[in-house]
Amino acid sequence: MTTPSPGPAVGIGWRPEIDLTIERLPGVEFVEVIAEGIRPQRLPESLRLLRARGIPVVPHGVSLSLGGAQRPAPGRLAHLGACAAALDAPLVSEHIAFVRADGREAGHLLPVPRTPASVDVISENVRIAQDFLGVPVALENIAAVVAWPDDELTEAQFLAEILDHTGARLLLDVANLVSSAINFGADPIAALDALPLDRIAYVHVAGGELRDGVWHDTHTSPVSEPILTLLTELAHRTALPAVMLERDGNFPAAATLSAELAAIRTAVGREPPTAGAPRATMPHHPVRSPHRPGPSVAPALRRDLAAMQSLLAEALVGLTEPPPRFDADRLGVARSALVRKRSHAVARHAPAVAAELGDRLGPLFADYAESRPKPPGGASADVAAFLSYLATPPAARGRRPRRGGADHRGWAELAARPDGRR
Amino acid sequence: MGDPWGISGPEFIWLYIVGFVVAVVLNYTVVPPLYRPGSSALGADVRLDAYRAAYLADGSDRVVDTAIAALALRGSLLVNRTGELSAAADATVRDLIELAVHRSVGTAGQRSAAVRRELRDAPSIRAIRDELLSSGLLVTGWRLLPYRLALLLPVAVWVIGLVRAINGALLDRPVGFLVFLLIVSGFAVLAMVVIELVITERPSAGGRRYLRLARADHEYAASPQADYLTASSPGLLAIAVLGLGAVPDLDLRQALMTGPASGTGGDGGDGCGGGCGGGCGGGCGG
Repeated sequence: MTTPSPGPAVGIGWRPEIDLTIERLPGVEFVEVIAEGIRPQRLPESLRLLRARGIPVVPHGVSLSLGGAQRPAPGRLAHLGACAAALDAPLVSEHIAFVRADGREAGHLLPVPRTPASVDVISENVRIAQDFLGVPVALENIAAVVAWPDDELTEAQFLAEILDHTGARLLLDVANLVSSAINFGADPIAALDALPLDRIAYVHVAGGELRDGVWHDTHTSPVSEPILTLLTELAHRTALPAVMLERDGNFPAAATLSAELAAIRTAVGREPPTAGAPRATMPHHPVRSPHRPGPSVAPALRRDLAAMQSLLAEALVGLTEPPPRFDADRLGVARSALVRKRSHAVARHAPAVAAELGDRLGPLFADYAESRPKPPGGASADVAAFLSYLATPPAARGRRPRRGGADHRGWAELAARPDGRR
Repeated sequence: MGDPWGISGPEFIWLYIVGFVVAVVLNYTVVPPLYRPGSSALGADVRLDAYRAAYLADGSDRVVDTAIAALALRGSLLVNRTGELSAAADATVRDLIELAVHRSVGTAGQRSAAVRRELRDAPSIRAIRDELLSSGLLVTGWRLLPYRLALLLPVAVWVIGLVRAINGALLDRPVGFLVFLLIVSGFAVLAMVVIELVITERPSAGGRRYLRLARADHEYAASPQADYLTASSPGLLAIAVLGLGAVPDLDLRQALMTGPASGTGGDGGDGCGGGCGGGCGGGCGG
């Protein structure tokens, strides 16, 4: 006789700032770790302890750029694979998003134009990752504040197509469905109708902030009621394998995190954790579920997508004016959000600089970053460039000229060209 | 030819060793109790809160450590395994010292050493120091002179040894071992002088007596069941007088006593989770 499953496994995103706190939270049945934040050959002690307790650890990638025009970089795949091996992970996860274009890091998870061509490119990228990694890959829907002007598929249709072409699992972020509802008027219930819920590997739940009518998926606030309500609706429709809380900053006390987990447990119909109660486990999946392989992607498709993504990325880092037919206000919001994110990273990387500048950090960094994309080399390179900027007399700083839309081939013109080259 | 000063070389070596050790012992054990600035009655019946006891025990650093421990034990301060602190977003603070620590730590993360450095001259800690000075439990300035003069004892023994070595050398006597002893004891004297000059305040005899009694009282007070809620709680007093080693929670204690770490070793992510700490205003998107 088999013991009935107690319900979805409940987990939390492991973050180094709260490693000790997470280890002690009651009822944590799995954790997810940002793969780019660890070295597989030298795992943090906390993760080793969790593994020793039998808690599954899922590496979550943020830099593969599976939605990008380029094939996933072997080095990044190798790192993710090494993390999965070191952690004996049942699966890995990544986003349906691009984070770099034309070799330039956008510093954020950016949306992909939802077209059949994108489906083909992304599906091929995912298949490359699956072949390389040898563990199941779960793909996550992102939260965006900008949308492409010519999306042909809804987000749910887009995800479903990719899953169908790749046999990948779904990492469904219910907070991001709510984000799409607020920012673009999408219907989250219709999304649940359209998504292959039987493909869900696990679910993300996170808090965000509404600023000027735009939802920002900050992961720094408590989970709001509409998100939990949607989670409950989802749990009613399918037997969820696992669900987890993402919290990336502004961390509350352990008791508050515990209460958030309790709310999630309640939303999915789990009983409160008690000593001796059976622990829910994450099911193991095959590397690929049954699927309908897509065609090999013609180089021209990748070139087209690369040109389109490059336009958006350049506009978002302040190098160009917004491409035609994009919502310029939303691009402005996204650009400001990216600058804020960079300034937070700088403050964290160089606390002495942050302490010295105090409240002036935000405005000064915004001036600096206005037309200066994040240099290669991560936060430390950004700090160095920012300090050089501060060391330059204000009169001599100038502002890098932003290329206007007229300097670029227009978005519509570009999209109309068969090769998409600039 | 007789022995210089009528003492043979080996006899002098023994006399020097014994004299130096006695001088050092006298310097640390006999002279301070003989000198009792402030009220000599202080100590037995003094009741101090954890912060005042902490300042007496180890200055402002111990006060900060006590507040850090109090906040961490209540969950208002998050401590990770590398010893990095971050203020909980929903933290509660119960006094001015906790407020200063909470502000210094912030939600972006800070190491306890940096917090200690930043708060060394904090007004709320200066007020504690002033109070202890006025009550005679702490001494500073010219009142430290007797402690410094007491150092003349080992210095005098060392100078006698030096004169003996010079004299012996002039008389072509073997002085190698004596020179070796002078070098070793010279470094010890130098260290004592430097330490004494660095110390700008110290507990009076009454303050030391209070600490001695408090340490004996609280040696076994720290336990997971103890009360750490207020500055007069027994558990917190134990941490104040004994240090972070008295934090009852083993993992927390180890984390709080961890020095600067090399981090988790990742190459940093460009997306969420890779550095949104401190309020990822930009949104994570993932």
